[in-house]
Amino acid sequence: MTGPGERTQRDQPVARPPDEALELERLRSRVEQYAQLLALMPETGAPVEDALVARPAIDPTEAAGAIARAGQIGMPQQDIAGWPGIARPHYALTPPTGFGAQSLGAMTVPTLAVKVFGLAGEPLETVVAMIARRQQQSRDFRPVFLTDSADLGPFRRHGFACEHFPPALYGPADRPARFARRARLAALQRKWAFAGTLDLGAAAERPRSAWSAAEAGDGQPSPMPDTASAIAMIRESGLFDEDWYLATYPDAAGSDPVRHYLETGAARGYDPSPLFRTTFYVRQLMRMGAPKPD
Amino acid sequence: MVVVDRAGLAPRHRDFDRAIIGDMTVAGDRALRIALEIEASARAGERIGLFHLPSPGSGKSIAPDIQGRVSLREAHPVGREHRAICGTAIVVGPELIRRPPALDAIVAERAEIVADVAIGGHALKVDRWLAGRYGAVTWSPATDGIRARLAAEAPGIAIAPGNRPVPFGTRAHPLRSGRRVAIGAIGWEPGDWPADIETMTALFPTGDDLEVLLLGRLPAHLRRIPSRWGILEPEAMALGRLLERLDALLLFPAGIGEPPRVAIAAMLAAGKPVLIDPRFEPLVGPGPIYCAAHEAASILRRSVAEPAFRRAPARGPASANGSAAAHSAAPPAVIFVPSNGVGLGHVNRLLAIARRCRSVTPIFATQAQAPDIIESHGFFAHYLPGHNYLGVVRDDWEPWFQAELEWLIDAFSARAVVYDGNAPGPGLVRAVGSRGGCRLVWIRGGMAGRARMPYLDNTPYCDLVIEPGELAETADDGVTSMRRFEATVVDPVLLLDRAELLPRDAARAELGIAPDRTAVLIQLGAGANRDIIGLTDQIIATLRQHEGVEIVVAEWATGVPAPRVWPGVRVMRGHPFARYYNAFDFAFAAAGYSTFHEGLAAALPTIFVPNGARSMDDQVGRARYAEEHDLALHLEPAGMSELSEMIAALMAEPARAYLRNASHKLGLANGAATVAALVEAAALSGEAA
Repeated sequence: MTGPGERTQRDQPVARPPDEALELERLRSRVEQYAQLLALMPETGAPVEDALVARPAIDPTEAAGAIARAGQIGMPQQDIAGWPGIARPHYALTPPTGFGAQSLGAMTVPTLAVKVFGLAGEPLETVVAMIARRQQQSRDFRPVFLTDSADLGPFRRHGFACEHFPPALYGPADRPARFARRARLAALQRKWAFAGTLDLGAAAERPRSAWSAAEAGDGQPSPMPDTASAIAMIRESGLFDEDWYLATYPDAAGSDPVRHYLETGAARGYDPSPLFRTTFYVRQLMRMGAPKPD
Repeated sequence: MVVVDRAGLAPRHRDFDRAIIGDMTVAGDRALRIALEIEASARAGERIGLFHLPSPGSGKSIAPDIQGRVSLREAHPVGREHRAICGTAIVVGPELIRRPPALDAIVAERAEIVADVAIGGHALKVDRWLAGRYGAVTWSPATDGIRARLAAEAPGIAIAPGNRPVPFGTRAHPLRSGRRVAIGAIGWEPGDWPADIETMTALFPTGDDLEVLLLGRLPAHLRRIPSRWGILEPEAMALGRLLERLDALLLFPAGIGEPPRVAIAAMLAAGKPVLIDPRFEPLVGPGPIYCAAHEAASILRRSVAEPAFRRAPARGPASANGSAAAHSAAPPAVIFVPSNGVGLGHVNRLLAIARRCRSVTPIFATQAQAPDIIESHGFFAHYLPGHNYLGVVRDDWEPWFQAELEWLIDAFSARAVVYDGNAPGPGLVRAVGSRGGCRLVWIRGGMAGRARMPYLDNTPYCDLVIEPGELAETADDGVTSMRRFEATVVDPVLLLDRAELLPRDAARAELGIAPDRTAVLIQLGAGANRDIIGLTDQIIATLRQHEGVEIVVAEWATGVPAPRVWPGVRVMRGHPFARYYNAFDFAFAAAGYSTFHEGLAAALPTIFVPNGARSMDDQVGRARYAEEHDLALHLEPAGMSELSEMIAALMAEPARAYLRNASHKLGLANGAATVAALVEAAALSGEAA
């Protein structure tokens, strides 16, 4: 038996003890209830006093310096071709629906990566709330937020999953950090099987359009690559499953599957791997007002 | 085809002094040899490249012994699409090369072939293939027997004059607390294990002072091993790491394949016994204890009784963390992993330890949603979402957590992972076990109460288990209370020492509380598992029956927001609340680990309102203990009728003074510095002498 709200991704479901599942469910509904209460509060007219803020004795500037120094010890690398140093699972996880769309339950809907790099505080709250509203209306996706903010409250309050990119390790702009960010994005693509990416980050962090492919890892503006570069980029990303593509689309037989996808497959709605749905991506792109891609 | 200028490579042009070539996914004795060679070379200041040459039987991931050295940056992988120039190419496992190898990535002046098994006439082919690429090829047999067969079956190849040694270094044996004697067996093939389950179970002596650890793949007929035995698959733990943990190794295979010579040599070099089937005496030679399988248990039982058996050996296999190459200016990293508890207890404890570490750099990989809090204390924090927050089944989540933790261990070359939580699951154990140079420290809370601890049997895979002290230890009847022998018990771990708390006036000034008012703090926890809003409402209503009371409600950073619906009541958020305890005359508090001990250490008169949820630690036990020892009052949710009476009592200064004095007399010490020293010792235990 699987507890309420849980999804099993593999063949052998593992039961959660009923009491634990019950407590989890109670926790969820309580947090949701309080979150709604909080949202209503400005309208209640209840007196709101400024909160007192407890702080550690350490000076914030000193703390920031220590964090930056610690982050510099880290040297994450992109996966090295031919060196399977880390064995990642071959199945993807399904993120939570969020408190506002719990009726989605176990329904299969695509998972959407929402980049919110560079946002914190109120702008971040606004963006998360906007996604929550959009999700409640369309009921056709589950978001996973990609954030560099250390304050995870906005995601917690909506019951959304988030993945953290601490700036001291992944950014903002130097080359090793960009590689690290790209490597982590590739790993997360596999973990969540994103059907698309919505980039709502701060302008400096955002590429040329709000929607970008999941493999547009570093968030830096870049010109459209030529076909050869695009093929190389796709191949390097590790996100294109050539065997699967050839087995799925017989008309690609005998051709380079990546080139076939770029030149004809994508236009026909073919998928580059079982983890990426081209049609969903294009649909979302157009809903955001972007012109239909070639 | 690469044209190699074999003669003209000056050392300064080399990317690496040596490049080791072989199937790096094959775990076991050979991977251990490679790891030891890497460590010895790195210690000598050499740069080592590694090239993975897949074979038909390749595994999915690099063998843990080898990846552990890569993680410490003692060796560097060479990708298929790169080109590395090196002095010597060392080929390990020539029998796996079935066709001319694709070695464009490695350019070398010469090649050595390590022959640790006999490969017959195939050696001639391999010699020819490698000579065509590297010119000078020398065979380096591991034993006299392999040497003789090479000479006979592949005449004309160049064989090195001496057998290839197994390099060992010297270092201190890693710390281990409350240890039981660990006896183990290893095997990668079905024939490496005993022929039947009866022989297998009879091998190991029984007793609570012994634990059995197995590494490898058990054949189907041996799957019914006793449940208390630990077994990990080869990808989950480095062989060198297991050997460190073992006090004795048993080898009684049904087959007659090659014995694990490197593992045997490592154990013997560490002064630890190896009991082995007499059939292997001609292959292994002197050193092990040769005996029949049915005699092994009694021999071990006699040995265990000898005091010398438990003495830490002075020499050990050089498979620990530490080498000249891996040393850098920055102190080595230690990754702290607070689990996602209901409150912030796990985060608090690890922050308490981290801020007292002096010779390592703490890095947080937090499952608790508190990276902002951790950063406010000056520590790098990386949030890794836990399964309960994601709402996914734990068994699905564990492998993903493992991969993410491995990535962080590698990125930071971490020397230790310190986990604070109740469930050291397979992801944690495998991630650390597969990085041979990284220690695993479990900060295990006591007072488990009725809470389940499903992964308690993973304790043997921890290098160190530390239990932060519990004031109410005598009331502890939880699942860990009978297993305290496994742990090093220290004084309660507190985030702040008493001297770090703000004085009353300063705390009141910072919080804006008037000096002459009675101030009451309400901190009932994160709001999970019970209705703290209702409770808080009742307490506030009762407090308001008294004049001049300043009420402050603590809002848990990772919990539900405290509603601003009580006029005149102020909300305190942030971290750490304990720093401001002196501002308050008394408090209402849950009895979680940190709140309970920090409150009593600060001598803050408190009415404990424990959370009695089954999944929580035993807060009721703590609150009862405090009341029975006149340290605090205990308000049971069912006994709210006592609320008015209790408040009335604590509105009087004499009552508060009585509780304060009792807490002062307690003289609660802080064990955080002790734990920090233990963590640092564990992390640095492999440093070269």
